[in-house]
Amino acid sequence: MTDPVITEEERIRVAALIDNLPDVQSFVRDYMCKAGADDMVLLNTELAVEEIFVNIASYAYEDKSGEAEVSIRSAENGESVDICFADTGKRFDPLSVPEPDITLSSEERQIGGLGIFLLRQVAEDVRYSYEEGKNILRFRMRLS
Amino acid sequence: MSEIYRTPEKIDIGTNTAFSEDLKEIASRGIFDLVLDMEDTVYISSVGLRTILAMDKECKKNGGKLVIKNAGEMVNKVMEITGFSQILTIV
Repeated sequence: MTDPVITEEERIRVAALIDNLPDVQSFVRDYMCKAGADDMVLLNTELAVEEIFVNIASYAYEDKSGEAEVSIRSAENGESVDICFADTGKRFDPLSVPEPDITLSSEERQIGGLGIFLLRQVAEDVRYSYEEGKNILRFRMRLS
Repeated sequence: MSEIYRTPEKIDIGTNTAFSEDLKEIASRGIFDLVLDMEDTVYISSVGLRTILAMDKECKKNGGKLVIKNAGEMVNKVMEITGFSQILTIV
């Protein structure tokens, strides 16, 4: 008998504060473990989650307070997991930021611009949309 | 004068401030030949890369060198995909 595929979506909503990153990480990690992710997938997922959540917590609401919602569900018959971040902060497409020039030397290299670049390298199908006043960033993590 | 610094298990938004301050403290003592022993580090995010890049620039500017050793699988992969493995000295 094969393991049952988890299909139900789970979600968490937290204040968009850096201090809440550990809660978001454990929420995602628990799901990924249940879904059968190995250590490398867990680390890559952690990286993707940190880069997105830190962006939201740092920029989405500027000086105001606001929330971030994270939802997660199984996809492709249990072979992948889809993760979605939503916030109601200012409209911003992180995928519109030019990618850093990774061929420059240390002296020439700008400090920054790497977070979203990393996200796009470790995750698949990274997509941004703006729906009903929400910034929505979706991506897919393959389990193997 | 050179020094070896053992990096923490995780270099993320939560630990980076302390990591960054440790490196600044080393630089403040005039040490610009630095070995980062990354054996204990299983995870690094962009904030940690920025700290390492800033220290690498500081070392080079002062005629020294930053060397990374014992980087594990995840750290190596992140260094590679960001091109950091081309600009940093990794042994």
